[in-house]
Amino acid sequence: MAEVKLEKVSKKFGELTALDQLDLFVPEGKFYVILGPSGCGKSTLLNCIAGLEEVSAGRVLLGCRDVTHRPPYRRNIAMVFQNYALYPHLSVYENIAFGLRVRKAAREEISSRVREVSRILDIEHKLNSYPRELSGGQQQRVATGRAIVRDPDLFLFDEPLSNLDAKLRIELRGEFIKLHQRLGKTIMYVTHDQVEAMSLGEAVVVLREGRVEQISPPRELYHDPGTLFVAGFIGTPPMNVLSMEVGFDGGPVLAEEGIRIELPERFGSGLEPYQDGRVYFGFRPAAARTIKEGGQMNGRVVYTESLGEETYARVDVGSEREVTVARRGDIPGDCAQVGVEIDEKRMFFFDENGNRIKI
Amino acid sequence: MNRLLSFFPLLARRARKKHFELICILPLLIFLCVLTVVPIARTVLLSLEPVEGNGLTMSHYRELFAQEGFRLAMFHTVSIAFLSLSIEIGLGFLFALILSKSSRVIRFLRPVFILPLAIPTAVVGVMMSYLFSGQGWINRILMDLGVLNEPVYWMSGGWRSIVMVSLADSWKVTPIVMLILLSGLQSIDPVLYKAARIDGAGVFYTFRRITLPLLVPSITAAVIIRGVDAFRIFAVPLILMGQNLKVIGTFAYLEYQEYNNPYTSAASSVILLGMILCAVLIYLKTAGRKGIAGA
Amino acid sequence: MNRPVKRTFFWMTVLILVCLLVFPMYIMLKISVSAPRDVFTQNPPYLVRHFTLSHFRDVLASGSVFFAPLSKSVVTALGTSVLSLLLTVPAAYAISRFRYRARYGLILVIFLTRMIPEISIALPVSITFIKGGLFDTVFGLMLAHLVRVLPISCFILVGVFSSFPKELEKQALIDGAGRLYAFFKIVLPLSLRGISVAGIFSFMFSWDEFIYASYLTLSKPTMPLKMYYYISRGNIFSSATYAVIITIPVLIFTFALQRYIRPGYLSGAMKG
Repeated sequence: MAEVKLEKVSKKFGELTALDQLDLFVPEGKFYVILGPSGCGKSTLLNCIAGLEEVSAGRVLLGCRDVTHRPPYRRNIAMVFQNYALYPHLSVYENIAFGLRVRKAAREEISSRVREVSRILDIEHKLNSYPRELSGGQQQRVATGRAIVRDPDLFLFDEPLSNLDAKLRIELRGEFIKLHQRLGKTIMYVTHDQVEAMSLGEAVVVLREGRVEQISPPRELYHDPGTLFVAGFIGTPPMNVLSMEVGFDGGPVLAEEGIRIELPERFGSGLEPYQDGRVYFGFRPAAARTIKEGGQMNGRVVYTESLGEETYARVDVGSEREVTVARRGDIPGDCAQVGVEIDEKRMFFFDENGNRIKI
Repeated sequence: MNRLLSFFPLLARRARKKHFELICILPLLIFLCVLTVVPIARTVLLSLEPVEGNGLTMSHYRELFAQEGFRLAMFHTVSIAFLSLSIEIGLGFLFALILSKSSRVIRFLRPVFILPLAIPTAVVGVMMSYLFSGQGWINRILMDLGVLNEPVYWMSGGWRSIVMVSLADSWKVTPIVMLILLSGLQSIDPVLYKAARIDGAGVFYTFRRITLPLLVPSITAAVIIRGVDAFRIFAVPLILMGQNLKVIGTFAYLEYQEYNNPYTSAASSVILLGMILCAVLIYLKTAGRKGIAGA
Repeated sequence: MNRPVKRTFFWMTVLILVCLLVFPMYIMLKISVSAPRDVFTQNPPYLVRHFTLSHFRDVLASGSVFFAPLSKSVVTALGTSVLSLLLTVPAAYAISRFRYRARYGLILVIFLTRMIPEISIALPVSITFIKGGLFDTVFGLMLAHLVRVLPISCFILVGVFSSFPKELEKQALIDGAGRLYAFFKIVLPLSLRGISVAGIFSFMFSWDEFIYASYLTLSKPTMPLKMYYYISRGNIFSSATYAVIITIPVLIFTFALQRYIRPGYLSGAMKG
């Protein structure tokens, strides 16, 4: 009974629109990650679901109940904040027990549940400590413990890992997945870190300026982006995007100031409506490679950068346009002339408004 | 009430959303209303009330301005306000700059710089009377040091007394100015000073181009908070000078307590209120365009 | 200027300022413990030559002449600070939770009451109190003192509550607490230090008060009034001794709490 449904939810702060007629459905028991650049309304969205902010318009439904005008304590939601918001004047035990005490649970019940939760999270030995005596990772665990002890219908996480160092972040990421498997509760998790989003979520909701841009499983988000924004936002290094003119010279051709890319015949029907117009042509660095000569484009290597497994070359393809391309084998270094070969199956086209052109 | 509100759905929702805050704040507002707004209105009415009969009259104000004593009191008030405010801002700045230095001795001395704040105003009056009287310690020390040949009679009225009252008042309240300016100084990011030093700026250049501009909001706050109090000055001149040098505050007090004339007393305090409002407006219009909003 | 000269100059300035700040207090204390022949002389000595506690003994022995004003001042100051906290803690909390414009407006309104000369409030209030039977009573004086104390207290507390981390409060709401529960269990315990600073300031501002006391009391003066009475009669020893006694409690407070008198408390309310 804990699916989340938002119907045309808007939230305005004076002139500023944080959420704009947003519709969202999160099925019961799913782990949804809300992803977007800072200022896109992610945290506002969580606050509205939690009841910390009242929505300006629209409805919020939890399970089948309309909770739009209910205060937080009548929603049975748990939330973990970025800075954990541990009560500094209470011990770890009291921090975890706080929600149970508010609900006037029996003393024995509180004790047994706090102990069980602290065992799961491996903070049993810290129950009598105060928050300031804990490491960042331990504080994070206490905050999580405080959330799960109450057995809520829905978990909200507001960038819970962004205050931790990289190693701990990866470790705790794994624990979140295990926790979700164990509890089977609905989770909504806000982050601006796309790697975190891709590795955690069963589905990722990309938010942009208060609107849902795309909801997809992580793999699909990467391989089948619905819009130019998603395509550019997901993936490191980011997708190469070139604004090109569509022409037909036998087959479909993209052209722009000296760059000319001949496309396979089968793209013709999809691009026909855009003839003599412009489209955005995109391809991921990993879907292209540098070759000695030939390929769809050619240019001069500006610099190369190594990201461990992969090495990428920045190639100047003319008219001050640069693309990033995976570099394979030992091909000449900087300033060398190379060809760029793009995998035809992994080319993307977007119209002027940034919507994907399916081919 | 609820039904009335329901005619304005937006208002009703706002009120419902904020009812907790409204309940919290209402007692204070009611209290301030009953014990400041109502008395002010009554003072204004009283100052316009004729001694006998009904209606309104300006006669008390005319009477006041006809008195040389009142005109002098106005002059004294304004000059003391200006003088003491200048001393306080200057010294307060000096104090703040000294206390913003991180040194163990300075930290140890900190209470001394705050101490005068704790001395009751009436006590300040007593202390200052020991210092400034004809045979007082100021004359004594200055003569022992050879600065003066004969004593200065600070309490004889005129500009000497104006200076004395200003100094006495400044002694007590400079710590407040210091605290306000110190909070401004402490909120300046130290990185800015480092950057300025790397850019090759000297001490005075840094002070003029970084410290001072960033301190403008704090200075404005200090000037307004202290300036208002300087106009309202009361206990110090009453204790030190009594009848011999009246400011408007003591004038109004003596008019009622000694001469039993509530109408002129009310009228003079209304004039004082007007002067304060004018001074604040003039200051905000000219110097402090940024206002206390930025502080 | 080279470094040592600069440093000498700096410490000289500090020394002179410290002397200027301490000297008046020293003189007052000196008179209160000096025999009359140390004071009534052409060239009084800089140091105490003939030490005596007789002035303190006289004052303490004067019985209710001394203790009645003292207890009235203590009761008034304590009552005023309690009442002021009761009124300003909830109000300041609410103000700090308003959006910027509403908060700024309310602070300005409260600040405006500080601009009103007390003299123009004291007169009508005393007339009302005579009619209402509050004249010359402790409670009446407390009410009047609140007028000057409330804005200060409110100012400090808005600063205190504004700097309170909002996440903690949100977390309490999420954990199922209502607004009141969250306020009492989370906000209040964590703001005690700031609240006590506001309380101390309230105490000092009431303790120190002169105008309302002189308008609203006739037979039962407060300490500052009693002292004024001795000054106007030219009794130098009684006034000095009273001055020392009035100063002692606030001095203790200030010393004990000076670490907490943060500059930020004075301007915190004005920060966006």
